[in-house]
Amino acid sequence: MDMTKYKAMFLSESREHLQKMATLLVEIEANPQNSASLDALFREAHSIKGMAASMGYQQTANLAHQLEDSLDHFRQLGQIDSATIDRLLAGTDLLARLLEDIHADRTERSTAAFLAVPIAAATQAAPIAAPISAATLPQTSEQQIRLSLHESIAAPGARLLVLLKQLESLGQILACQPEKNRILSGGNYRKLDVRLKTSVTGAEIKERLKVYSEISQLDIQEPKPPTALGAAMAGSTTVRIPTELLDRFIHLTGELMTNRYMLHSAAQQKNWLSLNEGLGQLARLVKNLHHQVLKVRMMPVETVTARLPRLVRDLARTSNKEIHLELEGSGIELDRAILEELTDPLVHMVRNAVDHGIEHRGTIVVRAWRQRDQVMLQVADNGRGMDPQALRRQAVNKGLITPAQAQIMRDYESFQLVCLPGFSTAPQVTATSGRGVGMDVVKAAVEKLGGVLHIESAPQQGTRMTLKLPLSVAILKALLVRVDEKLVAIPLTRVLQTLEIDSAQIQMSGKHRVFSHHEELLPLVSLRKILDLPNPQAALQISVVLTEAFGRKVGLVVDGFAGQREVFVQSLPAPLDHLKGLGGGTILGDGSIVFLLDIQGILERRRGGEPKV
Amino acid sequence: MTQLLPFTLGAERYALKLTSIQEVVDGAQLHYLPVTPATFLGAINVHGQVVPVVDLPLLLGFDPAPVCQRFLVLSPQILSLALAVHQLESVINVDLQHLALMQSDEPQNCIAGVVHWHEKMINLLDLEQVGHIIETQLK
Repeated sequence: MDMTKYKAMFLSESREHLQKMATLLVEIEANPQNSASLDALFREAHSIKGMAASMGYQQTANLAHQLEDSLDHFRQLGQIDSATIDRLLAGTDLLARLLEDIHADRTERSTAAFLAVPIAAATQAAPIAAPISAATLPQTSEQQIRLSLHESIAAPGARLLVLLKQLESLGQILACQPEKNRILSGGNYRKLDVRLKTSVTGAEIKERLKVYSEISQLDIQEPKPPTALGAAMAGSTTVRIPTELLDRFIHLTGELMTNRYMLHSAAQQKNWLSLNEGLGQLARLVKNLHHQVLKVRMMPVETVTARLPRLVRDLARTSNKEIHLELEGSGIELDRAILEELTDPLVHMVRNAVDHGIEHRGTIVVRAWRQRDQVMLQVADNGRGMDPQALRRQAVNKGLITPAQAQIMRDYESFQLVCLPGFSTAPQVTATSGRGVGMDVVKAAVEKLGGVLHIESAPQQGTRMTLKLPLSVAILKALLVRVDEKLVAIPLTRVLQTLEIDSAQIQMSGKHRVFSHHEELLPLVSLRKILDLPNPQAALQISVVLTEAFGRKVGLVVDGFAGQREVFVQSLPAPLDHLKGLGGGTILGDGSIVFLLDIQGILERRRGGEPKV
Repeated sequence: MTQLLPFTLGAERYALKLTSIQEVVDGAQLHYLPVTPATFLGAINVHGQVVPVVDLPLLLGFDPAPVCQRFLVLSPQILSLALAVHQLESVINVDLQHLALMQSDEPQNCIAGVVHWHEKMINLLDLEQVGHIIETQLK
C-alpha cells in the first residue's frame, strides 16, 4: 500500500495529539489530582501509539507505548508528581522530534536512551525538560548563498562549477540558480545563487570559500531558526473540512449550474426581466460561496495559543517566577494566513510579559474576541507595568528621539517607543527575550496584515498589548479615495473616521498644517505630497481621512472619497512584495486595478523611520 | 531552432526568447501604481491577474517608451512583470548555436548575447539582469 498519502494525515493528527498532551500535562501539574485530565492524557498517547504502529514508525510507536504505559500506571494511582511531568514532557519533546524526522523523510532517531530509564522510576534524577524552543531546533538548516565572480576572471563557468562542487560537499543543494547543466552547457555566468541544506553554519561556509580569490562578492543569509510554534504551523499543510461544509459546496454548485441555465435561456430569449432576476440570484450565490470558502480558511485562535501553556511553564521555571496563564476566547476564528503570521509575534509578547512584566508572581491573560468585523487579540499581564518617564529617558539616552521630542510626547505615545528597533527596557539581557528585539518585529507583522497594535500600561498595574486584526487578509473592507484623478484604497481597519473640513479650520503650527478635531490639534498630511503627485488647486472643502500613525492621530488629506467596498487583495509579485507602503492590488468590478496603501509604511518611507509625525 | 521576438529600444534591436514570454497584450488599460519609481508605468489586468508594467527603455537608459497599450507579459516563472518597449517586430527563427556570448563589461545593458540574423545584430535581453536592476531601484 502506498503510505505516503497517509503520511501527511498522520503527521497533522499526531501533532495535534502531541499539542494536547503538552497542554494537559501543564494543566495536571497545576492540579495533580485531576483524574479526568489524566484519562484524557492517556487517550492521546494511546492514539499516537496506534497510528504510528499502523504506519510502521517503530521508534515513535515504542516511545508512545512507553508513555501510554506509564500514564496508565499513574491513572490507576490517581495522581502524578511534578518530576514525572518533566520526564513526560521530555518524552513529548522527543516525540515531536521523531515527527520531524518522519516529516523530513529521515530515519527515525533512536529512542533507546530514553526508553532505558523507566518513567516512574526516574522521578528523582530526571533532568528538567528542555525549554520548548531549544528542543525543537532543527539539526540542519537552510543557507542562502549568493556569490559573484570578479569581472576579470576567465572561464567563469568552470570556476562556478568548482564552487558548486565545494558547496555540494557541505550538504544538500536544494536549489541552484543558474542550474548546473546550464553552467555546464557553457552559459556566461558570473553569479551563483544556491540554497543549501546543511549542518554547517554560515560563518563556516564563508571560511571554506575564503580561499577562492575569484569571488568578488559573497553573501550568506543565516536563516532565522523557526520557533517551535512556527514549525508546527508550517508543517500543517493539510486542511480538514467538515463534511457538512463540503455538502454545502456541492449544493451551491448545483444552484450555480441551475442559475447558469436560467441566465442562458433568458439571454437567448432577450428576456431582460428574468436576466435581471438571474443576475440577482447569481450575486446572492457568489456571496454565499465566498462566505463558505472563507470558512474553510478560518481556524480557531487556539491553533496558535495552544502551545502557550507549555511555553509559559518553561519560561516561568527558568526565570524562577510563579506565573499563571489564562486563555480566553480560544475558539474565535481567524484566517489561517493571519494566524500563521501571528505565531511569532504572540510568542514575543508572552515572553516580554514573563521577562519584563511580571516580577515574581502574576497572571498573564491571552484573550481573543470579535469586535464587529475585526478580531482583537490581547496579551495582558498584571506585572510592574511601564513608566512613561523612564521610557522617554531611555529613548533619549539611546538617541532614538531628541529631548525636545520627549518633552512634548504624551504618555500613550511613549508606550509606542518600545516598538522602535533597538529599544529595550530590561536592565539585563535575559535568555528568554534577549535584548528587547521583538516589539518592532511584532508591530511590523501586525501592520503588514492590515492590523494595529495598541499598548496600554500603568506603573504597578501591568501592561496590555492589543492587536486589532482583520478577519481575513485575502478579502478585506477598504475605503477608496481619489487623488489626482486616480484611485487608491486604504484598509478600513486603518480608518478612524472620514471628515469634510472647512479650509478655514486649518491652522499653521510651525511648518506643519494642523486642524482642530474634538479639541485636539491634529497634524494634516497630504496624500498627494506623499505619493509625489502635483499639488491640488485650493479648495474650500477638504476631505480628510482620520487615521493613526506612530500611535498618534493624523489627518490624511485626499481629493475625495469614492466609497467603501469589500475587495479581494492579490499580493504583489516579487520584488514589489517588499515595497514599504504598498499593500497589494485588487481588481474592481469594471476590471480596473486599485492598489492598497499601507499608511504607516508610506509615512515611514518619507520620514526615514523617524518616529514622530 | 529557437523562436525569438525582436523589438526596438531606441536605435537598437533587442529580442527575447518566445518561451520567456507569456503573451503580448494589446489594448490593455494602464492603472495607477503608487509608491513605485518612474520606471513603473502602472499595472494592467491580465485575465484577472494584477501585473506591473515596467518601461524597459527608461530602465535601460533609452528614451522612455511611447504611450501605448501593447505590452510584453513575461512568464511568471521568470519575472511577474510586463514590459513596455518601443516597437515590436515579427517572430524570427534562429539557431542559437551561433549566439555570440557577450563578456558583460557593461552589465547595465542587460545583454546576454548577440545574434546575427540576416546581417542584422540582435541583442538577446538578459532578463535576470533586468530583474536585478529593478530590485536595486526598489531599495
